[in-house]
Amino acid sequence: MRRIHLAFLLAISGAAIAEVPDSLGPIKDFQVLTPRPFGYTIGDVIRETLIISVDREAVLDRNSLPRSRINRWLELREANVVESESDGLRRYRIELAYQSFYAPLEVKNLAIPAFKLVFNSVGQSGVPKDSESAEGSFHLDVPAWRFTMAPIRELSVLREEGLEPMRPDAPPQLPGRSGPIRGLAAAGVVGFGAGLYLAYLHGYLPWRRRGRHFGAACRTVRALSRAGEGADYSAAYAAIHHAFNGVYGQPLFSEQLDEFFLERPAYEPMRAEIKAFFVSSYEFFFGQEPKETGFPMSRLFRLCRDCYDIERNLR
Amino acid sequence: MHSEQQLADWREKAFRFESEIEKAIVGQPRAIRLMTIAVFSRGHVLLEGNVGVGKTTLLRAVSRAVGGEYERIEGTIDLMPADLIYYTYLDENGRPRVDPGPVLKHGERLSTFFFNEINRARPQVHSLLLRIMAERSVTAFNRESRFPYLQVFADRNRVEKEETFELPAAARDRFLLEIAMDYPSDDDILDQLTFDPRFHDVDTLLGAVGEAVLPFRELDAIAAAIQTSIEASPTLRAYTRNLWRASHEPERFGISVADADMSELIQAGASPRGMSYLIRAARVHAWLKGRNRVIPEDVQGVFYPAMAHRVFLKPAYEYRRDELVPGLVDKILHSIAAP
Repeated sequence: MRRIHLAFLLAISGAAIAEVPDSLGPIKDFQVLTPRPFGYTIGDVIRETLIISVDREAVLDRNSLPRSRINRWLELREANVVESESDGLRRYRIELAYQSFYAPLEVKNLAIPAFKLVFNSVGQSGVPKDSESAEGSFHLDVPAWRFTMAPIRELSVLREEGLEPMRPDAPPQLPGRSGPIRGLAAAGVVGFGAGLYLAYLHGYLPWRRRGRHFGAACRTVRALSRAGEGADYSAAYAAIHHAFNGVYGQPLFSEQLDEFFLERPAYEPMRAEIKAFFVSSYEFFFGQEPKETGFPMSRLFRLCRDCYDIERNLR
Repeated sequence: MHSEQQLADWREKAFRFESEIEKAIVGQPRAIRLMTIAVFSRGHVLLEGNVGVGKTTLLRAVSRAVGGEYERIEGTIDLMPADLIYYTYLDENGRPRVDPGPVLKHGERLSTFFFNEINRARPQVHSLLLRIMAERSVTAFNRESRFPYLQVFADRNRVEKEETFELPAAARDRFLLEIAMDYPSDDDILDQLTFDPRFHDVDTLLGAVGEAVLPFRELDAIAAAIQTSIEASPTLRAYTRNLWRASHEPERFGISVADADMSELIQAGASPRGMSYLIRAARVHAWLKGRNRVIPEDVQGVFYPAMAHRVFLKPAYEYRRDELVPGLVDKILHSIAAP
């Protein structure tokens, strides 16, 4: 890397003399750091760094940086600007990365073209002054940089001469497989867990499944209702009570029904039917003698099935 | 045999009795309801609570509304059984005289015997009281006196333990209900009790309570009628049996209390007499609710006051009784299902 100092630049670039301000101007320091100027071949990246110190009032106009496509064979790949302030000066470090696509047939001198960096002054308020005004802005000439490019090989390489022909391109590096495999495994675990939860919500799991309380009651009532006339109502009632106790987490008695509906609002639509069931059940179990209940088996089964749907979150 | 109509009329009387007592006692609806249940179950009551919650006022209001003769005695450490039976003095002629004491004074018209601060009296007094409660009779002056309408109310405060004698288990078991009274939590009622001059003079307050709202001589008959006419179905009997078993062997029903080894907790559960008291009270509870049968809610409504004092813990846990028993009873009620 070689440093070209401002004074030297002023000495060698006649064209820039008029534009470059004297040391009392707003530009206090200007350095260009460049790599070696020879030995480049097609596709190489050339990195150039500009270090500029200006008055605090001057601000770089980023639009004045060269655009990505500079000419037929040269492109600007990157342009990073780092701005800092110290000792009352505003310092810029501009890192430019050019890529050359020139394919020379023999060693050839080329140049990265010169360009102008524009600075705008900001007033006391911090607002940039009108950049059109002569006193409001100034520019800095970045000189062209010359270098040489060489062909990769002689124009014709003959096997007969015992010279190595061009090697094929290096095969592309395969991307690592462990990352995607880990990702796939994680997605599989998450998916399996979500499926398991969905199965739980829908009551397809045998263990602690939703709907297990009323599911069991439904099976009991269905089996009992096949008996027809001589059906065992007390077992049917008891099965449904058992399901309510299971859902509530403790024995549910009729005076606790209001609390039950507060804690399990999903059953609220069934309030009237559940209350009727409890009245009928109390009459059946605690009345003087078992009488004809208002709940035939079909109604018990319907209540059971509705509560089963609620317990499985299907309503 | 009392008809449905008579039972309904008596229910009206019971409600009137409650509303009379509510003139003197505010913010204690549960205690008043339990007192009513005790009166119609013909059971003795032990009131428990902090100082100044109105235990004595409640008992005086109840005894006034029940009618009949009323006698009261204060428990003190030097009170002896004989002090209940007779007292001696010199008459105007200088002759020694022996007159019947508070228990015998009124003969069989005695309907309410009110024993204040029962745990300040000695065990000797407790045993005499035990007999009076259990048999409604006492032998003195070479004859047996009977008190067919007697109901014993006692109270004790929970605050002091010094110079007091804990009631023996047998005596506690004789009480139908042990009613805990606590401070009212409602702000309006607290304000009323604090600022309303009506509550400053207890005697005037009690004067507002109607006298003899319940004809005390008929109470035994109606209590018996309630017990025969309110049904208890086989399912309810099974439920009660399970509650009883759970009070003896909670671990068999999967009942556990924090920080207690359940197999080492219970010394003795409720006695059969205790269970019969529970059902007596539950039947009255059902009758007051206008039902002709007992349902689990009736049993639950009286379970704590009827049972908590009948569960005896082993000595290692007895000193933590106040903390353990409520939790245990609550767990029992919340784990036994019916049907």
